[in-house]
Amino acid sequence: MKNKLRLIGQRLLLAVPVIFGVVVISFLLTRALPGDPAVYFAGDMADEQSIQQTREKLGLDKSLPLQFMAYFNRLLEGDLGVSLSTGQSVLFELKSRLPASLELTLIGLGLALIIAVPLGILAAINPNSWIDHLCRILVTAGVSMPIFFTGLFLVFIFYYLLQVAPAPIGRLDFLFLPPPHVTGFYLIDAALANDWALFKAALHQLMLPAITLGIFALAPIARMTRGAMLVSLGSEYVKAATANGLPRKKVILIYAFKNAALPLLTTLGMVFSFLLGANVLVEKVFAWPGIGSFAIEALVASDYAAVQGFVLTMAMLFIFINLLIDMVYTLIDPRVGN
Amino acid sequence: MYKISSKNFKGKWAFVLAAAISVSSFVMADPRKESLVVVTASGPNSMDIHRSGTNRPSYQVAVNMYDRLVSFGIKGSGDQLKYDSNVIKPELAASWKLVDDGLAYEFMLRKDATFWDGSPVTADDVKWSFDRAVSLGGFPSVQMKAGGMTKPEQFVVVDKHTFKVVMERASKLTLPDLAVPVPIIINSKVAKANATDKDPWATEYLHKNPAGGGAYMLENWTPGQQLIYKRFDNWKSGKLPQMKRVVVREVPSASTRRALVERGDADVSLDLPNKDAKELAAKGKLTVSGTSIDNTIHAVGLNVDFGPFKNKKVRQAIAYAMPYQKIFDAAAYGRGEPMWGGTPGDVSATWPQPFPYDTNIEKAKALLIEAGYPDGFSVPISINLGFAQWTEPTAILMQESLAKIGIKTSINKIPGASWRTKALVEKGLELHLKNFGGWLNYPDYYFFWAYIKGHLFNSMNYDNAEVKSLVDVTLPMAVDNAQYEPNVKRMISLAMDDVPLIPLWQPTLEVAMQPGVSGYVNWFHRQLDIRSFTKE
Amino acid sequence: MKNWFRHTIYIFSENPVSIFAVILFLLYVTMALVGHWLVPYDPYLTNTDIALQPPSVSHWFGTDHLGRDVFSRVVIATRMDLGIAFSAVALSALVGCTLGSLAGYFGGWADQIIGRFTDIVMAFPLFVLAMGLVAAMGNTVENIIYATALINIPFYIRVSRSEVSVRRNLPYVQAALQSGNSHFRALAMHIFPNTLPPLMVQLSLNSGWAILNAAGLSFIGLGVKPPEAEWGIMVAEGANYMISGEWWLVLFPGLVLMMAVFCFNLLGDSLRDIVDPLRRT
Repeated sequence: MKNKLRLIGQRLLLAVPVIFGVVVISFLLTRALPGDPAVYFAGDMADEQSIQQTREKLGLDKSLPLQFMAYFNRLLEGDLGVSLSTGQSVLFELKSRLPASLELTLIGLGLALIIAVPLGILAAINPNSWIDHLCRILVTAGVSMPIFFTGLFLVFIFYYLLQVAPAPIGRLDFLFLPPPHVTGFYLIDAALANDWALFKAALHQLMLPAITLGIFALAPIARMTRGAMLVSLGSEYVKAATANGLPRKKVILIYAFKNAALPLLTTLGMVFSFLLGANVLVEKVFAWPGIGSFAIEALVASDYAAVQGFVLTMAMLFIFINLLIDMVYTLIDPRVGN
Repeated sequence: MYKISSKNFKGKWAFVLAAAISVSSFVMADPRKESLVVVTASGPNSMDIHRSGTNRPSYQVAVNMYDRLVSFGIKGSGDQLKYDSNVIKPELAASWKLVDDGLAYEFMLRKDATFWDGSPVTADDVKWSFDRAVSLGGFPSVQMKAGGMTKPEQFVVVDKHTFKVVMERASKLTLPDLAVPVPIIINSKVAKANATDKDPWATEYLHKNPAGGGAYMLENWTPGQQLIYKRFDNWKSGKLPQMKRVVVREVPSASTRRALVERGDADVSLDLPNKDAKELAAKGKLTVSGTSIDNTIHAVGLNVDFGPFKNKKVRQAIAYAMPYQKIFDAAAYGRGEPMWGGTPGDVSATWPQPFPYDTNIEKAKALLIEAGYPDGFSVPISINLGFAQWTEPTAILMQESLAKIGIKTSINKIPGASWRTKALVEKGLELHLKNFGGWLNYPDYYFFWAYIKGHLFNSMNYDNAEVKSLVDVTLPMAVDNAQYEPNVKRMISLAMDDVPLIPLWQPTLEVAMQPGVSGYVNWFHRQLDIRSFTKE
Repeated sequence: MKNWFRHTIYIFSENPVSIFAVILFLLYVTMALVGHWLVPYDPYLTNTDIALQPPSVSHWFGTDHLGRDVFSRVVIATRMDLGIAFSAVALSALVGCTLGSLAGYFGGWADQIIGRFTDIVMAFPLFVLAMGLVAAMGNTVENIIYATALINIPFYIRVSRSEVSVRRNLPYVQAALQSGNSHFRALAMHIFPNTLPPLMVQLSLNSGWAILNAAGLSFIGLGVKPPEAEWGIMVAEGANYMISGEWWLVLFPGLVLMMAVFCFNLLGDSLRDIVDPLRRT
């Protein structure tokens, strides 16, 4: 156990230079963006003098190293700056938008799991049969569509033609106001407030974007489940269980799947990060007020603070998820650390 | 809500309560009639138009939540309403007159007007607000300067309800400049209470908390998502608007905005592409308002710093090589006013007006040969990605047509953020597509911004001494001055002959509304004025 | 090697889906190579008189907002898209494998530095990183390739590093070293060829991603310059016409794009089956 803790500590330490690297690169990247934010934000009729005033106000008249120092100092104090395009502090934006992105991603991931895991198991039980091929074609097709295309297509069919889905206008319809803020996850907050009409409305808005994301995540999950199940079904342990005359269903679901769950967990972390990234385009299609749509707008407007804040948050999130999975893995897997 | 604990309550009062609820819901039964759902491409990033970094959609806050001293009239009929640049009407000022030998305006404020918090609007509030607009720098100061207002000394409190604006020289632009969104009247008591030594103009506070006396108050604002207005029932500066509650939701995708209004989910869809406007108007189910935007053109800019464009003949050759009709059909879907094919020599004192060019490849070739470029040359066409809807098809059609006279082009897409820097500040784009509109509807005002060397919207670096002196003289001149018309005609003739800017068409502002909804007004600032909306 | 080849034939003959993928792949490559000579219309020629016409006998995939033939544009876009995908993948494979092999073979500091670099890049939301790079450098075809290549480099580093580090202590490598081969020669001639099969899987999958990545960039306006034809930009622009009823502008380029990515993904999957030692039993 001591060894395991030390391993985890080492992983934590290794994350420090990575985060620093992300801070430096995101800083340099934003400075390389074209366009002078001072010009953009001095307003429509600004003359050279007012542009210069804006530039000084934003601290953009200083040299790059000085700008970086100032940025880094403020970062250490927890100040991410003010987003110029939305006019709010970046921290506020991220705080209010991150739950939107996470809620969407988690629901999408959940949907994908519900469909992909059984598909993967089915394929593994019948390798190289028509079921296997069909599964493969289905999940591969899902990951082969540009994600914005999937989203627009679903909107067209389910909102515009069939009129069963709500309009792609974000987290709530015009008629509703957000629930009182507790977690920022509308589903949870609405449930806490005992407002089930609101819960339903929020769920309704979530469905299409979550399905879009889910379709994209089917392939890696199904593939990994299939692979892990094949290995697991071929193991002595499962063979022994079968030989002992246990029912096949039980063998597959309890014995084999239990063994396959560990590699699946690692994949899940990867898929989650992957989905958070893919979110960017889904949010744009569904006008979802998450951090992804925020980042796109910021990038186009050369909104330095916003882009840096977004990249940093995502990086921390990725690192955190990977650490978490590492830890779980380290704690569960008896082979590690002894 | 009351907390109900008595057991008795249920039996005895439940009926009464139920009745009360049903009555109240009956009274509120028609909230849709008094509320409006508007979808727009992008929303405000601040409640304060004076703050640096405030975006264009935020101007609607200044329009709806704050009063100005004066406003423009509204002209047109039915669903094609437009502001009237020739009529200035009272808003917070009940009346005004020219005093001090025509060098100052004296405004008599409405005595019954109050801010939302009930405190009366006084001349002190007006002075504080105007002082703020000229002192903060950036956009508000530049706009105030256009009307000749640059320093606090020009704003004088005569008494509680009388306010004076002193001009340094008489100008026709001062009064209209008080009707633009910038010179709003802020509740100075509230603002001062929230000011700090570092921030004497309360920019931090007013950025998120509007404090005014306009027709609408803020109900809820989620930046980047939606803005909800509620009516200020004690508004005195005009007829009380019909809409009690207005939701303005940001929907970036143009096709979603169209779908929302087509499906009946939204009452009003703003920022409609021309194609959608044309098709929705043809379908006839919705009301489409599409009127041209004053003092605005979509145009091709030729940077005279670029070698070949120094030669007037090359510029004229390009003007003759433009496939105007094709561009107008493919990029504007025929909506707008054509700005080509004018009769040579027939110039009026209006702006914009058709230039005396049309598509004539032979003439273009001949002019290029005369200019010494028989084999043409290479030049990039730069377009603003933010306006790809019209710039992209225009650039492709231009490219094809210019190839016919030997001019080889590549198309350079520039994101909105760098566009301002590259086109307007550095002024380094050789051949580019641009649109500019002047808020104050005078040809000389347009020329001031777009045809004078060094001025922001002269991305062509055009420099002509005669145009400059004409604009200098004409800009403050009253429209009925005998010199005004000949001066304006002369500057337009020069612009037509020199063509640093090739006008393509005058664009329209397109809005779709549910049947029964009306009152959209095409304002020069192109933002939403919800005060005039009605719903059946 | 011969064994491997026979195994490949076996896998493919057993798996109809893989055969389908190979045929599709050949079709796309052919289209990229000779498509320019086969198209019925000049893909760049505008004709505003016939703008936005639905599919017909003369225009199989209809016409776009400038009256250009969508079928011709979809066909010639193949070269552009496969070009972007292959160049990006080749570039990232080259850089990634070199770095990964060095890290895996020498270990120590080289491994540490390259490992941290990988971690940093992987800590970025990759699509946003690509977006930022293209926005910063300008949206030319080359920059789209560079950006796509960069975000894929870590995958190659990881694959080749683990493959090389497993093999570096194997007896045959030690034997090669003792018989006077330099480290470089041992790495290049004895170890690297054996890491190729798993790399092939990565290459194939990445080609699909690269196309999707370019399409995503187009969707937010950072794609190739007009009037160039590219599937992603056609889908992105066509999407604006879906609600107004001009479905052909988005559907055909979308399907062709999807089939291409689909084909690369299936190929990658099949190759994985071949390479995966578990399946060889």
